[in-house]
Amino acid sequence: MKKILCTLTLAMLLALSFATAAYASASNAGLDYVTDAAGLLTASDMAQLQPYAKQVSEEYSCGIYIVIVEDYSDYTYGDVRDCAEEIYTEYDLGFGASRDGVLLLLSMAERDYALIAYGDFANAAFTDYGKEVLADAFLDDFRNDNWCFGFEDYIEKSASMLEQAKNGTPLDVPYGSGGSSSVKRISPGAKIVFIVVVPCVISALVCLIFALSMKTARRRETAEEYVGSGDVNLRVKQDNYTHTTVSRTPLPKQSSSGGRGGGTSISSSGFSGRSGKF
Amino acid sequence: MATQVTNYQCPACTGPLHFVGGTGKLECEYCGSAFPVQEIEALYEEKLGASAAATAKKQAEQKRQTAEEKDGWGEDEAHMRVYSCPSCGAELICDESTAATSCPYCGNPSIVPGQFSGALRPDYIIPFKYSKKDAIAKLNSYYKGKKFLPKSFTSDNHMEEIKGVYVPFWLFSGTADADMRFKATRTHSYTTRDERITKTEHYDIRRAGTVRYERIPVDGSSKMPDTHMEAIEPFDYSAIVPFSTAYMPGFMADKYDVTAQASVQRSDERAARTAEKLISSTVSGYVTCVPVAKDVRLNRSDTKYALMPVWMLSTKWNGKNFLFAMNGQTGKLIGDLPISAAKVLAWFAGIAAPLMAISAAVIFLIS
Repeated sequence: MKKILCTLTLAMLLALSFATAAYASASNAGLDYVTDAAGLLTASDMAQLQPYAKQVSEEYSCGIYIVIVEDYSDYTYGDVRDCAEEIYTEYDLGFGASRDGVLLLLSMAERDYALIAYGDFANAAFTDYGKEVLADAFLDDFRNDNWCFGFEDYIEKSASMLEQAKNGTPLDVPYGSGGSSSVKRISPGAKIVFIVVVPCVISALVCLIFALSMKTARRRETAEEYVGSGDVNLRVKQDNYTHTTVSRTPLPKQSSSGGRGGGTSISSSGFSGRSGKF
Repeated sequence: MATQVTNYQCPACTGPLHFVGGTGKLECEYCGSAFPVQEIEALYEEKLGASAAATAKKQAEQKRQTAEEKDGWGEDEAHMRVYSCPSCGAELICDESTAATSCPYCGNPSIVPGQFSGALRPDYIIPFKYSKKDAIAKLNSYYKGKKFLPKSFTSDNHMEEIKGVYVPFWLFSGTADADMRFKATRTHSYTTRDERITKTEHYDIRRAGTVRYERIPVDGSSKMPDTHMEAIEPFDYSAIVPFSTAYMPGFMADKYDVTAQASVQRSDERAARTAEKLISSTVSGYVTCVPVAKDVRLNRSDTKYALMPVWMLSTKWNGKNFLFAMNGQTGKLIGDLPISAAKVLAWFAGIAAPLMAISAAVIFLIS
C-alpha cells in the first residue's frame, strides 16, 4: 500500500514537471531530467539544473538524470541501487535504441545515493573507475549539504566523461596500473619539497649523527649495571581488568568488481552502478 | 722543613718502582725487576706508618707558621702542602688533597703519607689495567673517523701529557622499594562488511617490589667533572681489591674532598630511577602502559670509599678547555671534541647537493 501511494506521489510530480514541457527530454522518458520528490531544491535550483542536464543529454544523446526521494524503501523492497534501476526502467529513461543514460538517486532518510548507468554508450563512458571519480565530484558537496553545487558538479563531470568516451578514450584505469588512470601532476610546492627540503633534511640528519659522536660525556640517569640478575624481588603483581570500550569506523565503499582492473561491470539487467552514503 | 713523601724504591737497585696494570706487579724502571704488590706493601708498611704520624705533626706546624708569616700566598696557601722528595730533596708543593704524585725534578713517583691512613684510608682500589701507551693509542683511534674534528686539534693535542689518576669514589649500596601503578590497554580489531570494529580493554596495574643495588659509584673529588666520571662507567668490580698504596706508584691520586653525605644524593637519584625502570619493565603484554602513581623509598645499607683508575688529558684549544677521560680498567674513552664549522658546512653541502640533483632528475623523469 505504501509503495502504491509513493508511486502515485511520484506520478503527480511527473504531471507537474510536464507543465514545463520545454524541459521534456527527447527520449520519451516518463521522468524529467531533475525530479525532486523530497523538496530539497529551490525553484531557482531547478531552473538552473534542468536546462543544464537537458543540454548535456541532448548533446551526447545520453540522458543525465537526477532523482531525489525521501526514502528509497518507499519505492522498492531492495536497496537504493535496486530503487534507482527500477525507476530507470519503470519510467523508460535513456536516449536512443539502447536507452543510454546515467541516473543519480538521492534518498534523504538515511543519506543513501545510487549512481547507475544503462546502455552501451553510457556503460562504456561511465566505467567503474569513472563512476568512482564522478561520485568523488559530488559527494563532498552533498556531505556539506551543498545540493545545487553537487548536482552541477555531477552534470559537469558527466559531460566531461561523455566527451572523453565520444573521443574514444573513456575515463578508466590504465591497463595493469592498478591505480589512477593518469599520473597526477606534481605541484610546484611539492617539487620544491622533494628537490630542496628532503635532501636538506637528510643531510642535516647525517650531520647531526656525526656531531653527536663528537660529544660523548653524558650523565647516567640509572644504574642497572649495579643491580644483579636476582636482585629484583617483585612482591605485588596485580593486573585488574576495568572495562572495555568499542569504536566503529565505517569502511569506504568500494566500486564493484573490475574497478581497478578497468572496464565496466554490467549486471545481467544491463545496469552498472555504485552506491553509498553521503 | 717540608714533610718527606715516600718513594717506592726497588729493593735491588733503589730505582723508582711503578705499578704495571698488565702484569699486576711493581716494576723497576732502572733494572726491570718486578715485585708482587704484597711484597712491597709489607716492606713499606712500617715506613708509611711512621711517615703518617710525622706528617700530621708537620702539617699542624706548617699551618701555624703560614698563619704567622707576613708574606703569604694569599687564600690559596691554606689549601697547599709542602713535601720534600727523598730522592732529590726537591720541595714539592701540592694541593692538600693530593695523595700521590711524581717529583717534577727527578720523576720519582711519590706517595704522600697520611692522605690514606686512618679514617682516610680507602676500602678498595681497582688497579690500572691499561698503560699510558694503551691510553694514547685509544685516544688516537678516538680521533680517527671524527668527520667534524679540526685538523689542527690533533696536532696541537699533547697526548703525551695524558696522566693516570686514581680518582676517589664513594660506593653506595642499599635497596629501593618501589610501588607503582599504571593504566594499560589491550586492543583487538576485526572488520565486518561495513565497518572496522576496535575493542579496547582497560586495566589498572600495580607493581611493588624491592631492587637491591651494589656499589653505585659517585666521584668524591670536586676537581673531577661528574659528567665525565659517570660517562666512563661501569667499572668491573670483579677486579676490585682491598686498598694498598703499592698500586699507586707511577700514577697520581687524590683523596676525597667531597664527603659521602654530599655525594649520596646523586646515588639516591640513580637508584630510584633504576628501581622505577626495573619495576616498570615487569609490565608486559599491553599495547599502552602509562604510569599514574609511584612511591620509591631507599634504604642505604653500606658506603665504601674506593679509588678508581682514570686516564685523563686536559687540552686547551682556541681558548677552550677539552677534557678526555678513559676508564683505566675497561678502556672506555669519553670526551667532548671541538666541531669545525667549515667541515660541517662542507659535509652538509656534499650530501645535500647530490641528493638534490638526484631528486631533480627523478621529478623531471616523472613529469
